[in-house]
Amino acid sequence: MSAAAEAISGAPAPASAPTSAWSRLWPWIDDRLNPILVKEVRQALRGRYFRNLFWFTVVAATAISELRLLSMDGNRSIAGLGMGFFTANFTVMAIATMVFVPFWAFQSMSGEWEENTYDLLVISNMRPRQLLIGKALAAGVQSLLCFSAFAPYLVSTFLMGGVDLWSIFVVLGATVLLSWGLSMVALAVASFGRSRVARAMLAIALLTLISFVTAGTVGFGGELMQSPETLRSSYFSMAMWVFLSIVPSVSILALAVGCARIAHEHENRSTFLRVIVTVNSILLLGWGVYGAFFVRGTFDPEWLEIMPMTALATAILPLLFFVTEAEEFGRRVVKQVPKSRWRALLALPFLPGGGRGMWLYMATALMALVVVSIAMIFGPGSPRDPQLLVAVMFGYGFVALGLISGIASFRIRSLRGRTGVRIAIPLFLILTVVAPTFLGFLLDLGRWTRWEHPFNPFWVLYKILERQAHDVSLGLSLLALAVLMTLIVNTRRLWNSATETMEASDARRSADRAREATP
Amino acid sequence: MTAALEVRGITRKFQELTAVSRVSFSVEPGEIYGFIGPNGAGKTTTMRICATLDLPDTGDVFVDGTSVIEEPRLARAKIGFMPDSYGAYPHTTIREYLDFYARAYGLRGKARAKSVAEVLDFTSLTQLDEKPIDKLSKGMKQRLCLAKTLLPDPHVLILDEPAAGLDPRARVELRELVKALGAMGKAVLISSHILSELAEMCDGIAVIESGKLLANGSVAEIQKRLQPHLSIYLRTLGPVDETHKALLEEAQVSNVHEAREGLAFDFAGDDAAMAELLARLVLRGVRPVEFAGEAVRLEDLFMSLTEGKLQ
Repeated sequence: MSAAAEAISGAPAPASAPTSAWSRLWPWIDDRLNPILVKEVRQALRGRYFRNLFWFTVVAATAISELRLLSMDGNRSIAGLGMGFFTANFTVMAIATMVFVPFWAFQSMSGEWEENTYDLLVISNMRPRQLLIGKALAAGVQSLLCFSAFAPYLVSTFLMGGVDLWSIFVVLGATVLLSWGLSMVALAVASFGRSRVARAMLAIALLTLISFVTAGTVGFGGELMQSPETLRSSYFSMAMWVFLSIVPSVSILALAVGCARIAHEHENRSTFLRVIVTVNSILLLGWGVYGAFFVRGTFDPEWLEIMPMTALATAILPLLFFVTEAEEFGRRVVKQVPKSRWRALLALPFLPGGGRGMWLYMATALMALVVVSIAMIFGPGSPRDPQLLVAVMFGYGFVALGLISGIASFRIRSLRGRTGVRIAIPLFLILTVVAPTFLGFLLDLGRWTRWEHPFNPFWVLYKILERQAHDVSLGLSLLALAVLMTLIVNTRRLWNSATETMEASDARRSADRAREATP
Repeated sequence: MTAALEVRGITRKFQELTAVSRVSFSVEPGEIYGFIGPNGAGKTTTMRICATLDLPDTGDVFVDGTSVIEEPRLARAKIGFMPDSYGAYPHTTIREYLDFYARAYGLRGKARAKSVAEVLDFTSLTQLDEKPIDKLSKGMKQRLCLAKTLLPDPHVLILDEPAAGLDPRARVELRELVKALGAMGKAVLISSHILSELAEMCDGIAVIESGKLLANGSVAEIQKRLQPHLSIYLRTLGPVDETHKALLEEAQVSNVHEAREGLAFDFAGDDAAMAELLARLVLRGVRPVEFAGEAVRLEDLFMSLTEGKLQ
């Protein structure tokens, strides 16, 4: 039995000494493989789901190719047929890798609740992120196996002609990325479904989402094959960079959300996710700076508008959860506050609690403003004003996240209260946009009926993007007022969250001193 | 000496319901401790807290001196927990299942293979190691879960209703395994509804009802606390009337009554006093055939301690 086969079967290797370098290396690798990955691959290879999926893809690819060839006019050359072949095979492959594989990931995580195996994993000291990364990797392995089934057919489409090789790479690359990303989203979705009813509802929601994304990807692939010259446009390259930023960001955030969800309710579920959100924001901002200076060869401040916007868009949902967390530390979490006062201060925005969520938001906003401002100092003069856009955007975010959660912070202690506030925040946002529009109809205010009113953040931001900030001065004044109000209603919890952190740090130091003093 | 498992005043509330209220007890290394109580008494909640899967509102649990609240990961490394209901992964053999958990426990290379082989051997599953888990009987699955629990060589074992649903043979086998674990120096906290099983293997018990600990200690200690006298059964040759009369004249004897073919009575003295009593009875012409203290049944203790309260 080979060393690799041993890892798959779990049986011990024969006593003979390993000879090749691979045989010596494999046990080292095997020991470091994620246990969940090993288990999932073993189960998948034996289970019906993956076997059926794999053979379905192989049979479908073969059948499509054969039927296509059989339906050909006997006198016609096969040259130029690549397009049809590619589209048909790509559609089947996209369904396999973007619908079936993510749904398998969802079922795999749901199975841990369904089969009552989760507690056994926790007691085995396995971390939530180990569990989810293992499952995400197993989904990746399945995707790659499906891709490998299609590889010969997709290569043959290029040989038939009529298909641009670069387009094939772009489409396949996007599919791989989306397949993996959707699997991570599926794992995050599954982490919310501890009851059967919830799991059924989540399964429907997930299937709807992945069906839409798959349909969109198939459509995009077809479009790209029809007009490969799109690839060379500057608009496409910008869109591609944004896509390459957003998909990994959302995937990693989804995974972090899943990790937070499956961690025990008494554990620190927040810090890892906060760190991931912050790292993600830093990377997107860095990406923006890189794009502004290097992608087009000339300084392009549009990147300094789009990337902070992307950072905020990807972080806003986790931030909604952070700012509505219970304010006080749990019994287990309080033991994780750093003993050093300086470290505690630095860790403050990353520790659980609604007030500390607001600190994190303010730190992120400040970081975005500083990065954009510094980039603008070093960039050649530009008529655009990304600092204003970033400030206004984060200002709206501050009000959206902080106003309701600040007012209702006393209600956040119970789970029901937290859920209520989490629902109230987006409802409040919708209301601020819709209600003035409705009022516009009642009072016959022409522009307000077209959503162009100072309470609509999207319209205000659009005007700033269009360099017409003077048109929205009322909106900006209202925003400044709202920011001030939000700051006032949050002052108490911001202060309390900081003092609680410092006190916890002091208490840990005192406990250490007392322990040392005890003979 | 530090107790292997020390539960120190834990309280756990679920909204209005107090599932566990100021419960304290400790289990020493090598001790098998029975945890008994009616359904909904708070046994599983207490065990889950001990296993770091739940957190008490107040109090703490120490595993070899490590707090489950402050250092749950360190505590988990010393605990083997077998929950009352658990699942097994489909399309997996016994060896693969154990190999997976050995990896999860961080065991590597030869240490992993050795641990898997040892627990297979201990639970007598070696011959079945390639059998799919889906095809195992309930008893075999219990053994497999016990094998999994033993993989990291824990100091403390927490077994929640391990005998539930087992046939008599599987129960006896499980009991022997638990006894062997105690003999290996592991502290075992075990809950069960089959009290006769516990009576045979436990060195101590804790009785809980409505979240409150009613008694804890060895069975004999609890019995002494509840019933300061000893029940003795005496069968003699000849008529019992004379014996009855002789017993009534003894100061430490009370509640003399006929039982089976002889007499039963309560005796409020120690072993020496009991020997003297027997000698005096013989001198008075009583011819004893059987003279024995009646064994205290755990069921009786349990019934006298608990009131059958539900919460």
